Amino acid sequence: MNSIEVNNLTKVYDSRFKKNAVTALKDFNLNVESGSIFGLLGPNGAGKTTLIKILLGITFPTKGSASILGEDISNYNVRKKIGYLPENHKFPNYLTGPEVLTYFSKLSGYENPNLNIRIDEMLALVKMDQWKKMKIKKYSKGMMQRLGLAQAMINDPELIFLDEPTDGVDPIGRKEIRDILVDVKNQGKTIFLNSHLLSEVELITDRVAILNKGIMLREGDVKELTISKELFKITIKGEPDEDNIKSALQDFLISKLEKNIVYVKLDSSDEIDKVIDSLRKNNFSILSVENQKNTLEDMFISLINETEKKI
Amino acid sequence: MNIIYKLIKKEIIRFLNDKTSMMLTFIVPIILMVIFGNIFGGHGSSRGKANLILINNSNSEIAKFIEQKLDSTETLRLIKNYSEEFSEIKFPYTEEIAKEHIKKGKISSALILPENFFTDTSSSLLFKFYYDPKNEIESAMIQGSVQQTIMSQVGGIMPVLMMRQAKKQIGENKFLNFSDDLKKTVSANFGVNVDSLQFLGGDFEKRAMNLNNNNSSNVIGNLVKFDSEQLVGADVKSPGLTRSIGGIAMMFMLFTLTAAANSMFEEKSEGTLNRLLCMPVKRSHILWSKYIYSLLLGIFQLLVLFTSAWLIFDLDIFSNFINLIIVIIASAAAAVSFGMIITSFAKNINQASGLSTLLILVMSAIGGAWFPIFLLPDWMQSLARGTLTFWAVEAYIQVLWRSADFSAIALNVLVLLSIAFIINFYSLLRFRKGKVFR
Repeated sequence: MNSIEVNNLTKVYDSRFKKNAVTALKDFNLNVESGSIFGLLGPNGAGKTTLIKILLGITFPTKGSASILGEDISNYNVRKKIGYLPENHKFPNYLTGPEVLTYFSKLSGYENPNLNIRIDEMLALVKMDQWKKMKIKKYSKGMMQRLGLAQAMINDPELIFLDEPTDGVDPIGRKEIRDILVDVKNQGKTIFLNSHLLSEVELITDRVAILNKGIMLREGDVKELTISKELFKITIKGEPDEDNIKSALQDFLISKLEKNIVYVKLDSSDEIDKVIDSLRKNNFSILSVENQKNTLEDMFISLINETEKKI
Repeated sequence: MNIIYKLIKKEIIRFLNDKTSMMLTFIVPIILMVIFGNIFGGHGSSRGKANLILINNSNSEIAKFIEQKLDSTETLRLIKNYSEEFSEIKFPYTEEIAKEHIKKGKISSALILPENFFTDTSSSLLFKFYYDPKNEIESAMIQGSVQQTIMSQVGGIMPVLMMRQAKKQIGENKFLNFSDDLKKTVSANFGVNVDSLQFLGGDFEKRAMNLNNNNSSNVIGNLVKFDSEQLVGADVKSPGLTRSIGGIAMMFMLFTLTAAANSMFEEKSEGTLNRLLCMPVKRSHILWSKYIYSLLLGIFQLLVLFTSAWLIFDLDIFSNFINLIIVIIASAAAAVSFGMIITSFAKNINQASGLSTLLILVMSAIGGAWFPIFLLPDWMQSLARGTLTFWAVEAYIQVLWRSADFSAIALNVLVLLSIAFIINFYSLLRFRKGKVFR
């Protein structure tokens, strides 16, 4: 089952002069499976914020449709089951943390006779329980972010939108937030993550979508997307002579050679058999052959650069 | 020096790019200058005239002459006829109708020249003057204009009246004997021909009645009986404050409620608005909550203001309290709508603040919050009727100054509520396309 379904979504920001109209999304399609962590990636101006705004009912699509948890986005009641942490959020600074959580839980229609217990649990989860009596105006950015995360989860939502959830949080705090998100996912909730910190996205997301200039460039499983089909790591038994290896693989491009490990870059993954044959023919014993992975960041940058060149 | 030059240049560029500052620096003062210039003798003689009911029941030539002279003054507009509501048929004013209209606040003054204004035996000119000093300036101006016109234009009649008064007091025969003796004494002692002393008899009256003879004398001003009667507000404890508090209240409520509506821009920049939009609430819920909150704020603000005026200046707010509350609610509803429409049109909080400041000041100036609108040129008076300030200020005067019943404020309340309804409905439509929710 999908928590989010987007069909041919187009959003054009009108201008008084037609030539200045901006197409933020163009025939955009997307499915987010329930119980997963989904990452939305793209450079600035790609249309990520517009997509989130449309899904959350903040702005309206020009064309197309979308549904959340099986309900059309125009049905505002579905938002009872949604949590949202906006980027650079601010809460009324005269409130305390528990007051913010009470306010938003009531606005979101969350009914829980033990709300105070729930609030305490949430504050403990984000490690803010020791600051319960402090007014928000005294909060640091990291504290605001932790409270924002608690606020996004206070109504026990089925789907949580998080916009830059670790922004301003120190490395230890980031790790804690990642652990919380994985824990939430394990409870069967769906998390829709928008972040520029690709290394973090890579660590916790199941699937990602990359968009640029309102168009979907790629979508898929993080492992699939980061795998490099052309780069192989071959480990050879013993302590082979480097020159002999180079000689055996003279018809192939060696990208790196470290003692008994050789990295070979191929035009196609089909050529790996020929590499193995050549090594075997020269009496090398092969311990392992691994398809090398790129980082998500490498893949992202290379994909964006490719599309920019095409445009 | 070069650094200072660059910093000054930076300041100028910043100012030129701030449209709100530009508007408040140049456009607002220019518009207010035009308004004040028109009132206090600026370009041309475009100042408005004060309306005055004139009822001339006298058949005397003097009465006709005075009517003609009053008609030609630059400060007064004589109203001689009236029509019933929803009818175009005109009826000449009677004294009773004039008094009734003044009491209802339709007009502020009436000058009556009664049948016995001036007869062959009159020893004084009789005027009746009814007025409602709801606008002190207007009232003083009308009285001054009427008296000045009478004194300056019919001064020649005054010696006649003096003679008649003397005859009345000492008897005709005694007066004639006195004047004959006086003539003889003057002639004997000063060598003057008796016939040349015409001011003591003969055809003096006839010649003095030549109304174009303009030898006026204010010394004999007491020969004009000006029977004034204040029909409204005579018992009001703090007349000045009672007359002006409606305008003050309206102006500050407009500022407060426009700021409250504009706070949506602040909520947008803080992210609170987006957070609310993705809650299970409709946009209309957000707008209506803002509207109702602002309405309550406006009502509370005015209640505090009026209560303070009661405590400090003994302003009577309780004798007509229900109607006062009705006017407060209606004017607050209209003021909130004004704030909402500004917010729905503006692109950001700076634009909204600048635009609202401009419009509030202009509406206060021409709507009667600062001075009576009769001072404005006719075209501005017509424009004033398009402002919610005008209808609110008039309603406050009716309630506080005149202690009027609901029928007297019904039209004002209807107009204010209609403004609130129409503008608010349009604002709701505008918000869909407005920048606040984008």
